[in-house]
Amino acid sequence: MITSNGLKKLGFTPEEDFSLRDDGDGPYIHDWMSASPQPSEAEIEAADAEWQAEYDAHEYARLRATAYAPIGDQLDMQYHDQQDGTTTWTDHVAEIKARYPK
Amino acid sequence: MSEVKVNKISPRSGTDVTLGDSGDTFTIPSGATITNSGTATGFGGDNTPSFLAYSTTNISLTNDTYTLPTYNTEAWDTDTAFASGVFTVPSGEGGKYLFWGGGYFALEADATSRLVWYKNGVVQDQFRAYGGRYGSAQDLPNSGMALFDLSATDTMSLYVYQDGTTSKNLYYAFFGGMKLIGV
Repeated sequence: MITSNGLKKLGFTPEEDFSLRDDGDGPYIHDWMSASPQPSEAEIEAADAEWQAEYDAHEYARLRATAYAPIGDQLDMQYHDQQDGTTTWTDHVAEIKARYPK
Repeated sequence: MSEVKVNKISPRSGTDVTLGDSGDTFTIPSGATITNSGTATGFGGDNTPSFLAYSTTNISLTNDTYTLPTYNTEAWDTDTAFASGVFTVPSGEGGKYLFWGGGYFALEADATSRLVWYKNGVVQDQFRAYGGRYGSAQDLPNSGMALFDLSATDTMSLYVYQDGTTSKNLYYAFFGGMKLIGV
């Protein structure tokens, strides 16, 4: 299948090098604007598979990013840890890293 | 030329008054006034063809792809001119049309949505509607309106777009339109 992620993995930029459209039967290249030759569907699919593997490998990072407390709250944790000699902030970060391991 | 001057014209009992026959023309001169205090029908036309379609299910949008939504419900379609996301101007119904559409886009952080109008399959850039770009993932609305001067058999469709990194849903998608009168 033609995907933007596959084309981006090959170094092309949406709306600058290509434009995809889906009229109901799946995405296709509607406009090819790049000066470089248009890659084949097989090349795009192979690049998309590579992109997907990298994306999946970073699932833990996306989960961690949404699980961490807002930056303001973390600064507050760090302030009180320094004032009170506690480890609230470190515990918070460690718990999320353990919950979503690499 | 003869002139009839009366204060009131009334039908004979049990009948209606008819003015002239098919093909006749009655002219209201400049400066003359017709005052209506009753019910007038058949004047000025109506805003048809008209249609409104919407989706009661989520529509998955592949990222960086102009997608023609599939609407599973038609609230109305006066001339059966809307099908599979495309409105086709019926024969004899050329003129100016107003369209509107949109929905809620489930966007990733910093992603944007777009609504793009296509006339006869060609993008009409003057009415692009951009939405979104928020610091965190959000469901954000985007809707747009557009006016076009169309001829019979012209087609209009609304494509939607989101530029996140993966496929995302479009909720409450809708697309409607109607012919304008008097313009």
